[in-house]
Amino acid sequence: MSQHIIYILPIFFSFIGAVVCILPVRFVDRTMSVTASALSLASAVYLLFQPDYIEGYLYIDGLSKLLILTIALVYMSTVLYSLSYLKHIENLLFQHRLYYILLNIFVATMFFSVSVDNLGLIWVGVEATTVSSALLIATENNQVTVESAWRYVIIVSTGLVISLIAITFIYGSAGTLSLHELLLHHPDNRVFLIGILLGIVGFGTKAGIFPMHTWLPDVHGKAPAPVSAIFSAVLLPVALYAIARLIQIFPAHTIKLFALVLGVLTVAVAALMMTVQSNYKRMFAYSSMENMGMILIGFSLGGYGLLGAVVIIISHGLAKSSVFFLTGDVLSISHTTDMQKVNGLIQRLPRAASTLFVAAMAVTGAPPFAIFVGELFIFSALIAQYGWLLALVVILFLAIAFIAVNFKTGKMIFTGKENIKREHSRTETWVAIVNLVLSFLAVLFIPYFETLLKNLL
Amino acid sequence: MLYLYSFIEIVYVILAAPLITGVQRSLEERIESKQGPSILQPYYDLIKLFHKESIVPQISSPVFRLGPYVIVMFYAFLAMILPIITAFPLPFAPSADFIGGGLFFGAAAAIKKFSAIDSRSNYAHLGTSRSASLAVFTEPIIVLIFIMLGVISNTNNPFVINNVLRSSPQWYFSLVHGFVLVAFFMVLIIETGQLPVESHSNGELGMIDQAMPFEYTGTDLAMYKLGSYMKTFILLSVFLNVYLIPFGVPMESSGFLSIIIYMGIHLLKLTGLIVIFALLNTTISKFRLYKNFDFLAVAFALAFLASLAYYIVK
Amino acid sequence: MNQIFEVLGFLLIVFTLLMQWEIHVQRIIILFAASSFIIALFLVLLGLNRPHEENMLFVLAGLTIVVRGITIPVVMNKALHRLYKKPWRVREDKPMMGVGGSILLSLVLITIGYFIYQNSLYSVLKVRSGSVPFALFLQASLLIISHKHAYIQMIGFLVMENAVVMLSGWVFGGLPFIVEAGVILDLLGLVVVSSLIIRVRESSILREGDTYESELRG
Repeated sequence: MSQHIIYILPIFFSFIGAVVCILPVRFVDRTMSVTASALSLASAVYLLFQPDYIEGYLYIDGLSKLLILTIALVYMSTVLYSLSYLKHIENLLFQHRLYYILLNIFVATMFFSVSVDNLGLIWVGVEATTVSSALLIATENNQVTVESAWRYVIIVSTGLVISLIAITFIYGSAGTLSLHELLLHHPDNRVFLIGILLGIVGFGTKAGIFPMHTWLPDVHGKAPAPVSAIFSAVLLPVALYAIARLIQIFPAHTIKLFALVLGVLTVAVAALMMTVQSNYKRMFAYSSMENMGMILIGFSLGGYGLLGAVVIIISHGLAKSSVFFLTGDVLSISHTTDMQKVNGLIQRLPRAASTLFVAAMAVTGAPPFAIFVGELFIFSALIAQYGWLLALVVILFLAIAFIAVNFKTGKMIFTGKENIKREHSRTETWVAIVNLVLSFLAVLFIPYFETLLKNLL
Repeated sequence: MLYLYSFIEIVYVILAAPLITGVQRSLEERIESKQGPSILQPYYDLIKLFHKESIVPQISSPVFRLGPYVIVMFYAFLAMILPIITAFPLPFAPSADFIGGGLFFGAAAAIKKFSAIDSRSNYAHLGTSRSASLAVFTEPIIVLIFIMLGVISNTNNPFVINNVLRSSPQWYFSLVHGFVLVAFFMVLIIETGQLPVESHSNGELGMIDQAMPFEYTGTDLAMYKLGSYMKTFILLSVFLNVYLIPFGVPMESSGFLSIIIYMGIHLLKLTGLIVIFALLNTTISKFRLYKNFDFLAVAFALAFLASLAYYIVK
Repeated sequence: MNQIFEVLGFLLIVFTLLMQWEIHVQRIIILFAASSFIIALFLVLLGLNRPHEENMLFVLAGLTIVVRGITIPVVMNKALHRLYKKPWRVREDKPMMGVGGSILLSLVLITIGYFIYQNSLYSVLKVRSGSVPFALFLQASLLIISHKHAYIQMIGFLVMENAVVMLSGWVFGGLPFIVEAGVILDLLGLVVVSSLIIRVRESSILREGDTYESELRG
């Protein structure tokens, strides 16, 4: 038993971090969060080398471990970035303490969602992430932010009700909600099929899949930078984790086709919407949506597609969080999110601007970053299963997105009048740089990922 | 023998109808701690009006004069075909079924409107247009109510519906019956002119049915009033005898005496319903005119839910 | 037994129809509390019907009464009192559809739910009158869509959750207890958090008026 406690250590640390932050002692919230995140990261890395654990209420296999690792990495970087960012928000809704408490609880619920065995408990965990993250969006107290937080709550909760109906169907037809039992033998009737399809729709609302993506750009456009980062980087993949488990339970052709169609539509809509954006935070939000579409395509294909999807999850988590950290930087010195009004970043913030340029390329799938490699895996599986035409269409949309994002980012960074003073960065840029480097280094670990995911491929 | 019953039925309706309205008015006044008119006051009014001369607007056509008589004729015909004192069909009953009965109510209302418009008076136009716009929504509800109960008993004969409802508790306590009861009650409020749809005062801001007979005088007015009393009586009787309390109505095998006794019991049943109406009239205030359509929407919703309940539960 | 379930289900439909009709927020909250009590009654009857799962269902019914029937309406009521000076007058200021139109639309949705259920799921699930929870779900989504006031949207979401409880109990025989308990805890958290958000949202709407639409497009 003592050996098995390791598996719930990440949940445990982040939750303890949340509880301790309640103490009204100065600085204890920040130090506690930093230590909690460091300990979670350490235990997540340690978990990588432990065997799978499928017993009791926990179900931790390769996919869970990799997700736990991603969550822990982004958690750590978000906490470190928040330390300095929170000083620059003008109109705070609540005290710093509450922010850290909510952040820790949020991460704890995410750790919980990816470790449990019961589909119903996964639902409970995902709904709990909604509850704890809703207030985080509204950190900055102005009307538009609160409105977008409210839209998030309602849209996502409605989608999750649909997936609760799906879980009802699954339970009714299979008699059990436990993942390992369902993987061993599942019923083959229509009720079960409809349950899984509805579950994909419901959890897809949380993940920003078309046509339930409408909350995504609003939230990312208005939330403060660390919150946007942690949303894009880990919250969306956690919802996709639930979908991956559903597809894993019942890999019927209908379900895979359904998920594939949704994924392709998501990529298409995101790419097209990216071209007309004028707010850079919303543009990067649509880029997250496009990556989530790619991940869903990968999950629906299975095999190397799944490997590519996991690679994208890890590297996108790191790269997108660094992008959002840097945009937080940009926002804090230019005080506007309109792309037309921001220019000459390379002269104002040279380090941040150059990192932003590289990160924008990484997020949209430029080599040699890991997202590119992941997309390659997915395309190979796609071509093998569905032929060249579909793959070419998806590549076309990815290309549109690539050109749109990088052109607009480049315009923000490189154009500008002659002598603009260099300004002092208000926040820690090194966090973003570290994340970006890690995203690049993820390429080297792909063989390890493959061994971890052996049972799924 | 059965023809005698039909004749008795018509006479009963014509004679007893003003009594019900008299009881209602007197009761309302008593509830408000006033003495109120005597119960037989509508009779005195009618007799007085029969002695007076009818004055007709110069511009009107014969439709104006004939209208009230035709209406009374329709209602007397309806008295023969609906189950008012018997639970078995009398000789003329098969001439129109339940839906036909509903359509006859609509026809009588239409003739009322035609003859009112014919007087070219402003108040008549006001009342007619308001009444017509309400009737657009009331008629479908009535038809839906009648159809639904017909679907239950696989027939469109009100007598058979009465027999079905009194003999099987499964249908009496079913959801369909409950919804239909409430919807019919709401329609009754509109059709017989109770609050919260129409008050007894003469304020033109809210008059609906009271504005129509503004130009009638003398005998014509007496027939008009008799017609509206009969309409109230027949509608309330249908509500009680077919839907709410179908028990006790004499069947085929009972004799002549039981029918006579039942006529008295029927008046008691009606009085019970009148008490409820009187309580409503003295406690609820009148709706603003356009809110009547919301009221109708709810009544329609309930009637529709009755039909849904039938199909869903089937 | 089946007939009692149908009566309760239709009573819930009528209550949701009434919620669609009402405009004052406090009355809608009271209607929601009443419908939660009906759900608890439904769970108790379900427990009496299935003797081997009795205790769990009774505990669940008790939890439903305490959380959905009492705590959540009380929390919302308190939030109303804190936010407005005259909470009994709070209402949906600019309704998108008239009363008649929204009632008719609700009826149309119930019919659509019935037809969809009959033609697709009835052959699979073989439960008569299982379309009532679907009708409730569609009606609740109409509640959310047709109102701008945040409290009413919240109540629409809670009615949806009630509909799911009805669905799981009626058609399938209930979810495992731990899932239901988790759902109820989640709901409580959601209502508390939403009260905070709504408080900020409504107070800023009161201050500035709604001029934010253009930023949340595209």
